[in-house]
Order: sequence, then structure tokens, then C-alpha cells
Amino acid sequence: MKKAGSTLLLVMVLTLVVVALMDILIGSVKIPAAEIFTILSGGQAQNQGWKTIILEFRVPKLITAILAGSGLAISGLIMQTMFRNPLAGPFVLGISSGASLGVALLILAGSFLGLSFSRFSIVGNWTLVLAAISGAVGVLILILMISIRVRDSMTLLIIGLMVGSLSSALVSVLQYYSEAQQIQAFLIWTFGNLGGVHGQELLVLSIAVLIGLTGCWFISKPLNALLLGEAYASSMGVNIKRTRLMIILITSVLAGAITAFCGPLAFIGIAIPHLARIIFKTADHRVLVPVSILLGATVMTLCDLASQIPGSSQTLPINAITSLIGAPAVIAILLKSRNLSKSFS
Amino acid sequence: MTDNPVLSTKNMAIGYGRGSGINRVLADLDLEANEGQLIAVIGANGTGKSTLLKSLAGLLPLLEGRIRLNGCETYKLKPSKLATLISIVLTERIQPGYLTVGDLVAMGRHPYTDWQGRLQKQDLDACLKALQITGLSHMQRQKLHTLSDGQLQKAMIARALAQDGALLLLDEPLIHLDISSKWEIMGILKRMTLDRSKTVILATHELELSLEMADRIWLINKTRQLITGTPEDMVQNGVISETFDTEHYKFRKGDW
Repeated sequence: MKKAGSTLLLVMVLTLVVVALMDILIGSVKIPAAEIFTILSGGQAQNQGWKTIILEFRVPKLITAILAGSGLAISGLIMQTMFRNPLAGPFVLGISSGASLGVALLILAGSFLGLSFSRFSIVGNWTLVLAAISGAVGVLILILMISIRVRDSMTLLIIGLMVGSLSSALVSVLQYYSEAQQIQAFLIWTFGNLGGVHGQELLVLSIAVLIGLTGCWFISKPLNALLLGEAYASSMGVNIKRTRLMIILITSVLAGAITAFCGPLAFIGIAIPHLARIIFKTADHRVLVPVSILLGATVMTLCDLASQIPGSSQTLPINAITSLIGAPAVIAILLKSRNLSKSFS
Repeated sequence: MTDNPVLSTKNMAIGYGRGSGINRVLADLDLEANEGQLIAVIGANGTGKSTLLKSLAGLLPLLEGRIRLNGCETYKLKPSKLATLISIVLTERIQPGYLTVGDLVAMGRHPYTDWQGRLQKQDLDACLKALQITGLSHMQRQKLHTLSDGQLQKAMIARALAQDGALLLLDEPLIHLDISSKWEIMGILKRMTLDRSKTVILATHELELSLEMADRIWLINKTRQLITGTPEDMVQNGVISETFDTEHYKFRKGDW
């Protein structure tokens, strides 16, 4: 990376730090900044309640936002590269639809078995997470089996989309036969939530995301070769089957774990890789991987900040924010740079 | 020019599919290509020129037979090793994105670099040399989407040159180019064979250009047989006219 690139990268790191601090500072309960720094540096707080709010709510939520943002950005990036399609994202393989199906089965069909979920206990519940993971893993196994059989990625993309709409259809059927309360509980899950991941759950999510991100760093070189298409990559000695398997596994671990803990978070996965390419004007994954991680983390944290309605204890659902703020922002950037076709055609 | 066979095939059958759904495109191929030869593969559309090149490059599994490259059976070679012996220019369009000419050419060093793809001095040297041979040295930093078709084709050839194999395969490298670019690219390929002893095999529809410039012709005729020979022999014994003459076109032997 050249000098200008390093400066830009430094600016991005600083931005993330500032945004992260603001995310901890701002919330429905006003806590003085000085107190927050005392609490974060392990000192004694005046008010024990503040300490709980900071350490058990705001910090885990911030970490979740960073993990989810970076993980989704990376899975979007590698899906776009593998499918050579600017519209690809973390969920094109049907992973999140699988997770939704798992959750829908639990919430909607669970009532027949006498299980009940009130809308407040809904997220951060291991049962729910396990249901989502089972759904995601089910789809993953299906996609892996298919990917061994089909030679080209385009077929895989279409099959992924079909699997996705199949699970959505099943979810619709389940919804049709469910009570209003259960449907609402399920809907709230689909809005996404960064605030429900604590303790052990956060540890599991962190491990999954770190594994995914590290794996992606290791396949930067074959990802670059794939920019020319699978035939060229293969002629340059890249083991296509192995690389494709790695890409699918990484995406599944990232998108699956994040969806399981935070719900199906929209938008970040598709948009961030494009922003990374436009800002750094490069297609090199050795640059795009770290940049997408940083940008994803920053934008997700920003969205979390924006979801706090000023002067109110209410928060907006994170999925509404990512798209409400993110979509116009990306449209503006694209129109200004008029570059998407160049960055990806 | 020496007579070391860089490439030889034995009893090779190529095509698609497996099991009962096999489509054999060409069979019983015993081909040989020597060091420093420029070989043109000619034949009508759909006769299997691309299939032949892709099979030679290891991109398509063989239905039968073996390929020897520099004396090694190719099926025994690791993909990364094979990539140091053969490079290929395909017909499929690439999505240039933000890639520059330099980035593209550097990709040719893929089989030689470490896991992060860092370029060492010998890699940079090979890239610069490839840019120089194709006349693109001054365009190194230019984005691919700003290039003309001819320049892009030269950049693709430069990438294949940087890969630095003994054998260079090109699938219709002259398509969509104007006449002077066609001659320029054929000139570059010819110099590769003369100055650097590379073996170049290209599939093309440019009959006259091939007869003029190639050392050998591999011709696929109407009955899907592959006939090899020098351009002169091919013209003299009438194979060319047999293959290409139709009611719309007559090959005039007297011109050659």
C-alpha cells in the first residue's frame, strides 16, 4: 500500500475510535463522560447503575456492532468476488434465510409444542440462537453438497437464491398459521438487534467472527486471482474447488453466526465492499480485506449511534437504520463518483 | 531452433461430460510442439479449437490419453507447478474493475509468489520485461477500463508472458482487432518464439495471417480430424481448400 493509502487507513482507524467512544457516551441514560472513562479504565464509579449500563449494555453492544459490521462486510466482499457480481452479499447463499427458517420454526411452530416466547425475552436467548444456527447449518450443508457437484459459480448463485426463497416460503406458511403475538415476536427478530449479545454469547460470536476474518486474510491471494474469473485463476495454479469451499465456509461462519445472534442485518454486506473499492480505487484484496473490516465496523457503529432517538429512551430497529441512512448515503456516493460500473464491470 | 518437444500428447481424446453423456470433440490426438515454434490452430467454428487449448492447459480434464510437458506427464504435476510451464489467454472478457495494466501483469506472477502474493525482484523484472515486449511500459499505471480492445489484448498477453512458461496458449487473440493490431500482435508472438524460444500455440480464424507467420499449422477439418503440417504443405496438398472452400468462399492457392 502506498503512502496516501496508509494515511487514509490511519484516518479510518481514528474515525472508528471516535465513533466507538461516542457510541458508549450516548444513550438513553445520560452518564458524564468523565465517569465513563473512570469506569472503562477500571476505576470506581459514583453510581453502580452507571457501571452496569456501561459494562453490561453499551460495551457489549459496541463490540457486537463492530463484529457484525466487519463480518458482514467481509462476507459480502468475498461473495461479490466469487460470483463476480456486484449485487452479491453475505446472504445470497441462503444462509440467513436458513437461520430465519430455524427461528420461525422455533417461535411460530413452537407454540404448538407449548413453548412460548414473550417479545422481551426473544433475543439473547440460547434456544433462539441454536435454532438460527441449526437453520443456517442446514442450508450450509445443502449448499456445500451442491457446490461439490456443480462446476460453475453462477449455478451455485441461482441455487442459493432458490434455497433462500424456499425457506422464505416456508416461513410465510408458518406465519399464516400463527397467532399475532408470535408473528410479532418473529418480526422483531427480523428487525435485527445488536443489544442482545452478552457474556458467553459475545465470546462465541467473537470467536466465530475472528475465525472468519482471519481465514479471509489467508485467501487474499486466490481471491485476487479470481478477479479474472475461475478459468484464469485455475490457469495460474489456484485450486478452485478448495478456494470456493473456503469462501463458502467463511461466509457461512460469519453470516450464520451474526444472523444467529443479531438477526438478519441488511445492507452492510452489499454496500461496504463497494465503498471500500471506491475509496481506495483498488481491486486488491490485500487492501480491500482490512479496509472492509474497518469500514464495516465504523458504519455499523454509526448506525447503532443513529438508532438512539435523541432525548428519548426509545431506539429504532437497527435494520431500519442501516437502510434508511445507508441507502441514500451510498446512492449519493455512487452518483458523485459515477464509478460503480468501472469498479465492477 | 532446436527440436526438443516442449509439448507432446499421446492418444489424447478431448471433450465434455462423463459417463454416458460424453461428447467427444476430438480423439486420437498425437501432437507435438517444439521449442520456438509458432503454431496456428485453424478450423471452422465449433470444430474444437478452444476445447483443444483448454485441454492442453489443464482447464478441462482429458477423456483419454496423456500430455507430456518438458518431459513430465502433466497429470503428475501440481496445479501451481503446471502454471509455471503453461500460460493461457482466453476469449472470455474479464471484469477490469479498478485493475491497472501493472496489476494485471503482476497477476501472472501468481504461481511464483508467497501466500500474500508479494512481488520479489525477479517478479518485478519479469513484469517489466513482459510490459516492454508488448509495448505497454508507458501504460503500466493505466486502468484497464480505459484501454482499447487492442491494448487490452496486449495487456492480457503481457500477463501470460509474465507467467513465464515454456508454452503460451492463446484462444483467438486477434478477434475484434483492426488489421494493424492483428499484425502487431502476431509480430509480438513471432518475436517471442524467435528471441525467447517460447512455444506459442494460437487458435485463430485468420487463415492468411496464419499461413504467413506460423511455423506449423494444426488444422481441424470438416470430418473432425486434426491434420498437422507446415503452411506450405497445407496449401500445396490442398487441405486448406478442402476445409475452407464453400459456395461463399474459395481459397486461391495461387496467392501463396
